[in-house]
Amino acid sequence: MVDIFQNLAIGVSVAVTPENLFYCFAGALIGTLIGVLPGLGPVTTIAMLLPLTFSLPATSALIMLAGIYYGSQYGGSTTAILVNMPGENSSVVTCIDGYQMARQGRAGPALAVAALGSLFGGCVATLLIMVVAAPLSMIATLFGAAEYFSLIVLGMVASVVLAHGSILKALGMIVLGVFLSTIGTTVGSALPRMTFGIRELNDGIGFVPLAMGLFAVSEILANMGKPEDRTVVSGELGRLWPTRDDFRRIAPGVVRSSLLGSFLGLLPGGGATISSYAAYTLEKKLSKEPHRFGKGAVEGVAAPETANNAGAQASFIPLLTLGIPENAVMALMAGAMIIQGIQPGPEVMTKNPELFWGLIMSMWIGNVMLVVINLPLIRIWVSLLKVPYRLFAPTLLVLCCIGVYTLNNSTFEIMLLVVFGLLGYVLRKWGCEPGPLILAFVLGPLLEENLQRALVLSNGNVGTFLTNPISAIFLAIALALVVLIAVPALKRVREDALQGAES
Amino acid sequence: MTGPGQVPGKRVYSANDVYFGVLLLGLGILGFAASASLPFGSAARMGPGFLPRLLCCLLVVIGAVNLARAFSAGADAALPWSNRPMLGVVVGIAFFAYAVESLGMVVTVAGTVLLGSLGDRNTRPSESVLLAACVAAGCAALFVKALGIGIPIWPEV
Repeated sequence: MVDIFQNLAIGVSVAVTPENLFYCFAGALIGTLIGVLPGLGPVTTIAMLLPLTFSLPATSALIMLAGIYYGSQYGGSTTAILVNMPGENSSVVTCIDGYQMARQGRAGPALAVAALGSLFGGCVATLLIMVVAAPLSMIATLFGAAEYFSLIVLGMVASVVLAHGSILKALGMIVLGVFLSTIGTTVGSALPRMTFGIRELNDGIGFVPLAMGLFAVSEILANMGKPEDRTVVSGELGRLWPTRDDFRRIAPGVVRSSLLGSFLGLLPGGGATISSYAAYTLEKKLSKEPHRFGKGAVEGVAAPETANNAGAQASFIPLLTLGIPENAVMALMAGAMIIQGIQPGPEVMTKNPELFWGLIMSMWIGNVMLVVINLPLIRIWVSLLKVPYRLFAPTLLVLCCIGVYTLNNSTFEIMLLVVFGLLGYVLRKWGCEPGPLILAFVLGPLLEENLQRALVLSNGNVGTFLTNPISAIFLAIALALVVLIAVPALKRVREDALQGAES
Repeated sequence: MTGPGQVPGKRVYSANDVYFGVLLLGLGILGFAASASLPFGSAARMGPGFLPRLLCCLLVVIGAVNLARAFSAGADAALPWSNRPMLGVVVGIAFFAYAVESLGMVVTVAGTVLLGSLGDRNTRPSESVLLAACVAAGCAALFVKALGIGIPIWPEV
């Protein structure tokens, strides 16, 4: 217990330095700015803004990235409510009641409830991180190579559960991700591997051009082709502050959703998206007036927004304690940490306590800031929504190019950006989500290292993954997940959960 | 838009599955060829060629299953790609890569914006010129002046 307070003190002292407060603020603000643009969700925003943070010290960089994350998520909810256009899956359900509220002239309270709910959910998740982080990383330090290998496999497979479309394709994307990560010089030998004689590939495929291409450029491409039929809810936002009746309605749901979101955020494959769906469904089930849902129920906005923020923050836990990112956003965070020279995992807490606790505390501060900056700025965000896509698409393109180029002053990486941009675009058209690919790419080197070590230890006996009990359990869960999703009845439930909520 | 299952004509396969299957198959074979010269090692002493070749086999298998399923799962067409945005974005980024080392920030950015906006059929010429000027000025001010990244503002003579 004393430890926790000590750690909190470290965290606060790191998070409230003027620089870090600034980066937290800047991240939340820029994140909201980009995230509010229709069609651009957190993954796209983070991918696009990654290079901004690389010149900063590790702690500040992560604080800023986390700020960008929850900023863009909040920006996404704003778009969902005002334009009925979710930036990311995690705000799909927010559209349902949020847009209805906006049409009834209650956009203001809807936005305020989303912000306040997010704040509450974020606080609960932060508390959870404080409590479970230390024990979890303790457990993780006990893992050997075989356990780690199986845990990584589980993490990759779990990411498939939430991907749209066929499992087979998602598995293909995972293998493709690991495959891409093996390009470049190997650690053990100095041999260039599958570089096709291209010298620039000796260091491997860059994480930034890959992530930016798959998520940002392909998103720009996808949106460019679309006709512009946005209708921003016009007229007044209504009064911003929710009524007493609103507060009474949302209070119990917000508490439940925070807990639900935090819990789901912890699970492999979990995070913001599943939390928001689950919370909405739960609230609708528990409600005494379920008929109000879908017609502008304030609870229907508060619950998913609370849960997705709680889930988003809780999903930092597996990354920071086990080193396993559980979704695409966390894969980007992991990539950023690795570029900063920090291997995500149990050592983060012991070797970089100031980074760990500073980041946690800054989330708290950032969430408060988000409410403070967003509520007064909502009118600016609304006017931004009226900017036609043809103007910001080329602008974002330039930002991507500059971002990639300035990393290594390499024009080769800009060409990679195009290649992966096109790849991401066609993959989407084929019904393959790029999320599992990036996750597998980040985990690839770790997978190889642990596979190698485990096999050395077992003298080449592959059975070691099954005879080691913990490893066997992880693999069994992974297998069970694949089987479960493949069973037709459950397949339908998953598809309904992922897509059906829109209709 | 043509959705799955409502394809006109005689298509008997899922185009999405075919494309993805071919991609995986192709990459698997290509990767196998590229890693063939690397020492494979043994399970106890994995060489640098061990994992790549394992992965390539997986790619080939998953690709093949995708192809096989394409003919059994029911017909669909891939969602239509839009060529114009692809062209605009590729040309825009390629121009950036070409120009950034010699032409300076302003020309590079303005050119990328103009070329990129060609990809959008809603583009209006006068608007794009104005946008290019604004973004170029903004990037020069923000990235070169304020953040001091190593790209000159004007072309070097």
